[in-house]
Amino acid sequence: MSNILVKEIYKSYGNTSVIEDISIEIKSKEFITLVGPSGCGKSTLLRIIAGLEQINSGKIYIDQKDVTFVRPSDRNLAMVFQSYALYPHLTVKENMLTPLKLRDLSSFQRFPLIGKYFAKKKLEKLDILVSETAEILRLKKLLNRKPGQLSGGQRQRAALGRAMVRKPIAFLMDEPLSNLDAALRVHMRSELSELHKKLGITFIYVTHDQAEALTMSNRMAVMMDGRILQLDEPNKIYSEPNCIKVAEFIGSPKINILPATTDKLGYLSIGNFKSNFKTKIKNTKIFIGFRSENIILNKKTNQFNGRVKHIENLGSDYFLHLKVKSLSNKIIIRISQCDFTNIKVDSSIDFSINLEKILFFDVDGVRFNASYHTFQKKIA
Amino acid sequence: MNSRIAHYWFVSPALVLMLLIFGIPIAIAIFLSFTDYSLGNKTFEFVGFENYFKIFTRSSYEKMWGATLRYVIVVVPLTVGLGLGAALLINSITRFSEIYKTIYFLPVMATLMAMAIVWQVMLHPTAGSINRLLSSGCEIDYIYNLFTLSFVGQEASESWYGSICNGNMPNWLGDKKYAIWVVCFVGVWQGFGFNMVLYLAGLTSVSRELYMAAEMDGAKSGWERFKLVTWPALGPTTVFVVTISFIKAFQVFDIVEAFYGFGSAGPSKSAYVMMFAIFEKGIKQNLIGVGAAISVIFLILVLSITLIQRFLVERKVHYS
Repeated sequence: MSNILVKEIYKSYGNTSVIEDISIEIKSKEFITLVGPSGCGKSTLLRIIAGLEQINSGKIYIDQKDVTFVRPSDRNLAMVFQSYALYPHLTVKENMLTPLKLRDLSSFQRFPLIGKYFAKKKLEKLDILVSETAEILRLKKLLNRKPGQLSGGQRQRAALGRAMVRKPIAFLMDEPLSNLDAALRVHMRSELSELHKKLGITFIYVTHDQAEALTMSNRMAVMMDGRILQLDEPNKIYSEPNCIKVAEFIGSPKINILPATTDKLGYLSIGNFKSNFKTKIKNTKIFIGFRSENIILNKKTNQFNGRVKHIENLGSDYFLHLKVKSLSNKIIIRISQCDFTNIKVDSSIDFSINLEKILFFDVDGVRFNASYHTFQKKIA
Repeated sequence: MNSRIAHYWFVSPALVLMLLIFGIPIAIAIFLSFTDYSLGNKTFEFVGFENYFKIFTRSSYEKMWGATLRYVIVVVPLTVGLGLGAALLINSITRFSEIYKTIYFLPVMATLMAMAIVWQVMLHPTAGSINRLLSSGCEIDYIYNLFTLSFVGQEASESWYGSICNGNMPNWLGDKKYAIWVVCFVGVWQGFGFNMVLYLAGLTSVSRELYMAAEMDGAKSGWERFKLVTWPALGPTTVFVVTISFIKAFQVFDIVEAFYGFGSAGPSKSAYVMMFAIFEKGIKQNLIGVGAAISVIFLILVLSITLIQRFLVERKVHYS
């Protein structure tokens, strides 16, 4: 059952088009992430779903209802902004009460000074809602503070609280973790996932950080230049990207892309190295991609010899930036702590690519399945 | 140099200037306000609080209080309100905003003396364009009916507009019924553009995301968004604008001087504002003691308004 349906939307500012023909179906209770480099239109797409931006054409449905021309406040979605956008003059409690008051009280009951005496019972109910939400988010002690007196993480939770308190159809989050420090960001990742499970509400999450997308979401949409390039589960996006752009954007360090050719029998050769790896295609120029971890440090089967140009120490792993003579591109490989023995800048390293894990792309960058391997195995 | 007293050296230039420009003159003014000194006199005598006593009891000073308070009470809310209104309107349009800014700011930039002459001409009882406009409306039935309130059954000839149409043209500047209000009007016309610019500057700092958040939270009307986002964000600006407006309103002098400089502060002294009183007593009549006393009261008034502002408003204002 779909919860939010975006259909063939286009959006442009003047002559520059920001979103081109995006359709996306968001399932109920799903945690979906829109990820892409800055300027790819992901925030715009989120605002379009919220109704804060007009579209040139297309349709948006929420729970099967056409909401294309419904104003944001009537769509019953909640949004957490990058800057949190808490009302600075109100306490956390008042911030959380604001959406409730604006929806549940009549304008007379919201009248300054005297209004509250006519809505006592309702206000008590709203207070209970606020304290329930505060309980979930561990905000109880902060309720009487103003946003200026909170730390980044606390502000973030307050913004979440304001969004949660009125039980919306979906949460829209626009890079909510980008203003936090690294440790807190990692912590909030797991907290958000837990919250999602607890609440059972649709989350639409925008981020430029692929780690957030990979760790939290049920499905992720990789966006670039106003288009969705791939929409799939995180592990599929990682292991089976449908084009070079997606492969390069997802995964850290960046995937190694090398030009390669196949000979008339379909054997793959990369640079000077001719493999005995047979592919379905013959006599073609292609690109291959392999992740930094898909290498084998083995002297016997070595295919390549590279010189270490730069070493990145990540504690558990090391990233080695290698220059291989026969290849124009630099190669980054990941080796674990125990394999890292006596390697310095300018050391020479022998390694082979794990050919089973190779991704094939045609000259236009579209991935295709060229592996003959699995096929052969089946026959045998 | 002893480093323990170095900080005194650092602040001394500012301190010396402050003392020379503010401290000493204020002290002298306070001193003189207790004397009967006149310029040119070799001696003077201490009169104690007599000057102050006069200011609070004599009828001519009663006029001063009346005119000053009327001016302040009318001009401060109107310049602040119109300034905010104009700023909000200009901020909401995408085109021609520069033109509107210029139009509203022109009176601030223009020399008030010259503008006062223009207003004098316009407000002239017989030749002025304003009275011409009023009398030309008499011949148009619906305007006549509207302004005389005869459409709700009022006796037309008894109303204000009715009497104008009967030939009693208002003498805007010469009639004590109108004089101070005309001065107020020119004060508002001349003053609100400045507040508008301050508010425009304040509006640029309001976060766009806050408006989006307000919309998502269900603030549908412009009034609700204003209440929830704009007005609180403009708090610091408002403190400043209101304080400045109060001080400027108490300081009004040039309009009265331009309109009534040769007479005596308007018909029956109805526009005898404080600054004009200081000028008249202290300079024209050479009663330095009385002039100084009014100045001291003026100083106390402005100072206390500023302090009240700080204590009352700033506590509730949020500085982000």
